[in-house]
Amino acid sequence: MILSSKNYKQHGLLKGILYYIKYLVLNTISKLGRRKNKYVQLPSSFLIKNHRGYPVLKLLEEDEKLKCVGCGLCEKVCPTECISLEGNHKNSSLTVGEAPKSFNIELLKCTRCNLCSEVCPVEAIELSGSYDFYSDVDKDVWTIDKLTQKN
Amino acid sequence: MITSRDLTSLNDLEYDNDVHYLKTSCEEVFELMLYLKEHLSMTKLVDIFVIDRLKLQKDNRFCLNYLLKNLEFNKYICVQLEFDTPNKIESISFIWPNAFFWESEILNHYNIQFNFELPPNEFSGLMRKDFYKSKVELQTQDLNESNSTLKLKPSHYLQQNELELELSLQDDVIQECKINTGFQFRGIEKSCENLTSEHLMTFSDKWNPNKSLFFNVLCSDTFERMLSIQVTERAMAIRMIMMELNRIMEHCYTIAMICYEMKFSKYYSEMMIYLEKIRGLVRFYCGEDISTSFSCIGGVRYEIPQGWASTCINLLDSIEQGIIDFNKVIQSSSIWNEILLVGKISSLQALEYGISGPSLRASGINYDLRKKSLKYFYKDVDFETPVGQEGFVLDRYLVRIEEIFQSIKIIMQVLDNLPSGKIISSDSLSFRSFKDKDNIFNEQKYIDVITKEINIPNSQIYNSLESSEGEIGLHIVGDGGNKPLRFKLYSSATNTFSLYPKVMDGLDYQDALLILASLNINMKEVER
Repeated sequence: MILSSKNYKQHGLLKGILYYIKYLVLNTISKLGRRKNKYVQLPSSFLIKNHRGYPVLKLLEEDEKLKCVGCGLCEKVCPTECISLEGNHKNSSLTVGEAPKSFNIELLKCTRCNLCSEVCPVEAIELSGSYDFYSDVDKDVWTIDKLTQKN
Repeated sequence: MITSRDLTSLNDLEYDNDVHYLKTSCEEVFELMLYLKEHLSMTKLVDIFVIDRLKLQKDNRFCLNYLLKNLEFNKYICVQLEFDTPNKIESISFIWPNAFFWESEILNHYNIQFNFELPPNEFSGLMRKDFYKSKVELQTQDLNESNSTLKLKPSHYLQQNELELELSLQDDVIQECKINTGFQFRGIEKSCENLTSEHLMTFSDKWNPNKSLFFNVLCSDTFERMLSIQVTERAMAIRMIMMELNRIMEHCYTIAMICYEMKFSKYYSEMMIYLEKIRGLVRFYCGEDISTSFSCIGGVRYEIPQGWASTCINLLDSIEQGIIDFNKVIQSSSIWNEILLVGKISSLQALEYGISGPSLRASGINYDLRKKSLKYFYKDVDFETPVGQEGFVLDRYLVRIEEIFQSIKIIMQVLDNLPSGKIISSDSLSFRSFKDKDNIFNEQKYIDVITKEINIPNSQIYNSLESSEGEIGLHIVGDGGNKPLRFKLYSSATNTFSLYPKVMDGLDYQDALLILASLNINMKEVER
């Protein structure tokens, strides 16, 4: 479609003043009866649930031990190579095994792409909703103790 | 070797994904290009780049590619030269004036000699396969103090982009304009040669953070075309919705920048509020607003949550009413219609330099990639493309406002008829097809696919999309392994960047900044 020639018209001072008076009167009359906000507000609870924050390791409900099985799949998928594991996983099935000895993540390299939680067969690693921790980190590497803290 | 008399018409050639490959020698290139432009009407030069094949074969190491395009039938021709180290190659900037930028880049990166000369560089030969790190020393520059030049660097309070403008003035009128670059080079293409296809999806939204949703769709679409994988219908609809939302966000940003240069601060803040509301919508869908990686090979990663569609419809209704009021009030002032009649781009200039997008449509040419290459559901949705009359800044503003209304119309039609089904197709070669929510179907294959990734076949492919500023494209060359041999990004911002110094004709420096704001050149796409 070709734009109409109404948009290209020019006018002088007097016509501009008349337009201004017309819109002044019309806008005040139409806004007298309005009380609500013109824009739609998004509910704040939706924003917190889905937000991708820093990674967190999960615990079992019965005895407080790690869900992690030590298969090492999250280490191979990570695009920036920030996860390092030490575990023995010699069983044939992926969902059975021992917890690893050490689990380190370099937080400054993590891009929060959510690939490690998609690959995990046991759902042991997850991205939580808060991201306030980035200003308080003393060292780069986070061990198992810090990753299972609830804050 | 093919001479120019063997090619008679476009219908006799064989096409592989709309591209035809030709091989010639170094002496016959210039005549072939003249013949292709006049007789076969290849009006646009898209791209020039070099492939380095040191590890595969020892002779004929380099391969120069020229990509040409025919606008009417939407077909491409790729002319290839193979050589070791030639003496000098003739440059094509006599035929297409926008070829100078890529040839000077090849001289800097690969150390291949052309007709012209440039000052030497420390990092010359950067993109070759046998380039090693060396010591780098800082250089200090002498300050040229002359009364008649004005330098606008990125740290200047008037400058909003990452350019350096050198304007030589005489009594407040611009005589000459030069552009210096180099602030945004990050070495993307060389680092992409070390990443596999799954990792490239998470890296693709950092090439330009304002248009992260467009580049996600482009990256996954080229891999699907190369491996011939079908996408489900629901994933196609979700990708279309996200692309149109990104288009609305970018148009709001350029209109806000035009109002900022005209010192209308109230309207600048109103447009930025609309931008933040739509960003909240995208954050509600996939968790992040800037570095989203929402698409993968075979479909889309995230499902539409409950309550998203109704908030989307309510928000877009209120934004549409707001922009109609905004347009009426701003166009009723006489300042707006007079000051914005600067920066004319004629249709001849636009075709010669190869511009695309809303700045091409504002000069009077009706061309839209969404109507030519009919992808996902663009053939079933009815919308119109607005065309301006002359190439001033006022036309680019009017075209963008009309495009916002058309994008809202597209989103409403798609949301009314959302197809149901799965998000990811069952024959995609990633690990997601072997896993459901609770169980894994085949454990041995699951481990195999993650450790040894998808192999890229031994071929070339070129794919393109219509983004909010023009055409963006990807060129991938594979050699049988799981990492690409050559990875080339193309965006139409390079063409407007080379056209910009020639639009000045008796203007102030404030008008020059106005024209820059209306073209919306992002230097992250130009320099990569």
